[in-house]
Amino acid sequence: MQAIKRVIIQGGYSFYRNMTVSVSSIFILIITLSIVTSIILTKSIFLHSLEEIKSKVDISLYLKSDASEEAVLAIKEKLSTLSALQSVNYISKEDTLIKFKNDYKDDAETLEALNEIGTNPFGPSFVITARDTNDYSDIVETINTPDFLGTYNDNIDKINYTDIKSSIDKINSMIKWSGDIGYVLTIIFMLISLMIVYNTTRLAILNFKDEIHIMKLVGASDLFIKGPFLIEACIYGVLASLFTILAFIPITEYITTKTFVFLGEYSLYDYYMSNILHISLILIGSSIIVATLSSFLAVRKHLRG
Amino acid sequence: MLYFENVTKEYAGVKVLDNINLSIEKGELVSIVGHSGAGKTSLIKLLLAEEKPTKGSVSFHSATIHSLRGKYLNNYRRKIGVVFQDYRLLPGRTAYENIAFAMEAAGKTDKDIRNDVPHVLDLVDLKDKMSHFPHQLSGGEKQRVAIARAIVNRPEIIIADEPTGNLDPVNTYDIVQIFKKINDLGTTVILTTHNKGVIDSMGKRVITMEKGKISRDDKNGKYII
Repeated sequence: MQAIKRVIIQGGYSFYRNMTVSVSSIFILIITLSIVTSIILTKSIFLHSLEEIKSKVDISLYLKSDASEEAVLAIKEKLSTLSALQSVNYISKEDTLIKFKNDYKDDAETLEALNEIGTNPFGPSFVITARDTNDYSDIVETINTPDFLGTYNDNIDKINYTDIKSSIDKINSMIKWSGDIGYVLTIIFMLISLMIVYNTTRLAILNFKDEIHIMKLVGASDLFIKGPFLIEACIYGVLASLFTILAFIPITEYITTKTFVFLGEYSLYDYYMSNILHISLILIGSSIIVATLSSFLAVRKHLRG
Repeated sequence: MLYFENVTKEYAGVKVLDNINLSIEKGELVSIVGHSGAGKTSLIKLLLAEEKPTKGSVSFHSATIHSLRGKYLNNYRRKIGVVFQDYRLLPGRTAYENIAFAMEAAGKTDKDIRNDVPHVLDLVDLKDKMSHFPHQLSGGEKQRVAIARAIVNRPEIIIADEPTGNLDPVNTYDIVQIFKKINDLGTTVILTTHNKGVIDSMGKRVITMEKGKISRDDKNGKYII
């Protein structure tokens, strides 16, 4: 207990005594942590946008305009049995006509052509949403199975799934890509930071060469020699993390006001504040690991010598 | 207590110690003399387990020094106090803190540190300068702090490598008297020096080294090169 207390005091003392090196190391860590935080926030924006797109994806099952009410009810009941289904909404042929007229209210030629037909040319439809975007292909495959709808298959006009399948696949690959690229960038910047902090610490430890030599000659344990350097590194990590965490509060607030046009109601500031504990743990943990590993490697060389 | 058996040390094929056989008993005061390059410092480095012999063995009681690892090596080093020509004090710490540092590193309690540091500073006549930093002390005073640091953990052996090399005659005399006092209290003292006056005034065992070999080993020796 006494040894730990001394190691902690000595670590704090070293931090204060080597203020220039301490400030340099903290500055390097702040840059790395800012990049890591930016990656986390960028990913959140990206995922939010993708979720927005995904929420707009659905399957439209168009029925023939002469489909009977009995057929409509039977098909709806069948669709409700799909395990991957989130919701199924029925749109009557009348509602479809109203929507069409509304969509083309400024297009006189189209509305004139519709009037010339004299009857409602649209059929009713079902809008199907799945729990997961990966389930859409399974739903379509099931509906296309002859046994699923049986005799009611003749009432199906078309399923507009093929048009959006590629979009769904793209969305899925983009989510995966954004995750992978985030991890790779994080690892790259952590390694760069590790190398820079290692070299800074190595140069700083040269000032302690005599001190380490004397410690060894009086029979100090490895913990007593390494400990203060590791504590000093922990102080670097904690201070750099705290600075970065606090700095990103006004930064995210500013970004939110500037990105209202692109992101709508999505607030980066709200995301940051609601995840600040989680993000803090990532930043403090990663910076302490980078700083202490750098110190450990740097001081190990002198312990061998 | 300390035994060198057929010890040879080579650096890049060049012999700096050549088949050394030597034993030092508890309570002895031994001076090792010789020109620069005679092998004195190499001998000291082997004693401090900073170097390993190319051939032969160096033992402390029954333990082979150069085979010690980890806590066994740390325990061995806690039984040795070292004094260097250039003092090697920590510049950012006061005289008190320099000595306390050696005790902390050796795992002594805060109570022991509070009791022993003023006492040992009193022994080297520096009690009134315990708050001084090394740059505020003279050469002789710095060396006395270094000696205080070396003896504070009550080592079995004090090894001093040219301890008077940077001192004037008055301070040299004072330092030699301190070493004699330490030896009188039962601690084994090994010192290397070039100073004829120091050797002749002590009238103790003198080992003379030349070109990596022991050329003389006199019980009540004089400086003869």
